[in-house]
Amino acid sequence: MSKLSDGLKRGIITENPTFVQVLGMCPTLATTTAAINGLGMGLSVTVVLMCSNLVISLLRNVIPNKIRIPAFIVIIATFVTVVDLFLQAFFYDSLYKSLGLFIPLIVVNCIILARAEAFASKNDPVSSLFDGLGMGLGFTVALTLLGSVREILGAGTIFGLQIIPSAITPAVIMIMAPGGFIVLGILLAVFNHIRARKEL
Amino acid sequence: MSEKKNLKAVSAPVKLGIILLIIAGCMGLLLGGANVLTKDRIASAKETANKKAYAAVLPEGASVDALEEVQVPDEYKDSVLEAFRCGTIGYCLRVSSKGYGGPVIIAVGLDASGQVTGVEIVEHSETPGLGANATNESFRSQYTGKSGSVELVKGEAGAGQVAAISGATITSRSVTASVNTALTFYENCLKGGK
Repeated sequence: MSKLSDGLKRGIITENPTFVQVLGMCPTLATTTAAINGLGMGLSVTVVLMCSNLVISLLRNVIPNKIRIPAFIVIIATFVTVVDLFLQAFFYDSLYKSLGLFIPLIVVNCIILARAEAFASKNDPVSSLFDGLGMGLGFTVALTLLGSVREILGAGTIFGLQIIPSAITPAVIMIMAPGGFIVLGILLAVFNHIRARKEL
Repeated sequence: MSEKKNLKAVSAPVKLGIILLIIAGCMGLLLGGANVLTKDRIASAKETANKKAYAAVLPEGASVDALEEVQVPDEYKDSVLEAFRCGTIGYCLRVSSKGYGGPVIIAVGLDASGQVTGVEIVEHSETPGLGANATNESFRSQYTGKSGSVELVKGEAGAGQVAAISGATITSRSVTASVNTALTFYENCLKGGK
């Protein structure tokens, strides 16, 4: 039980991959143009992270140190492709059309390789699985938050629902690249401010 | 002694290679399994998406179930992906052209006289909020009723013209180019039941 809560707390709060480790910025900025895209990307990463962490942890005594990186990449790439195929099969119209481009890029998302290298290759399968779950959810929370803020300001909607009257022209810049950087910077500052206050 | 050492030096990389091969082999099996599980569903999901687009663009009275494939000549192969005839009522085509963020694939419906009956964006990776606005009804419906060729203009559109989306000229150009391709394809390959 403590392994689960440990993994969750570390992933979502103390070592949040986006707000604390600032890893995986490319998919973070590119996919968060809408809340649903952030959520979809985050959950896809969570699935890949849990699977790859589990398998790598199970194989940690089999994989020789010298070839660990290629072995990790092969395992990660496999799970990414599996997620890609399942998204195509079951969410073709809804999610795959907007996220399709970025799914293969999860392979090079450094959060996944970083967790394989820093955690799964040194810990038992159960805590590795929970570490993957925690980190994945931390990433999901961050991406959904970022996507929501950008969608509200940039399109006046959240999860596709109109919340700002359409008479007010939304700030389109927020869903373009500069808006991504601006919102990410503000959220980073807010998150770290709260964290710093709690520690004092 | 030294021979033994040599042997070890040679066999170590081989051993590493074999381990990696085994891991890759197992992952390959997993991938194969996932492919078998999803293959049919992916094909049917894509077909449903195409059919939905065709149903939206075809002239009234035409049914997606009564489509008859038309051979696309080599000179159109790069842009016209598929072309169908629907009895004597009309035609529908899937046309691709380069947009801002990759290919923009549209479905175009034409009636028997070569008038555009509808345009749907099937696949695109344009910027959300700008190029992606091409999927909006207000932009797409401008093409309906056009024939011969369509001209893209900035600002007010006159007869035979379509107003570009502000901030998304490249996407607008791409869609217009595809519609024009569909119209010339009609002129050269479909007109008069050729």
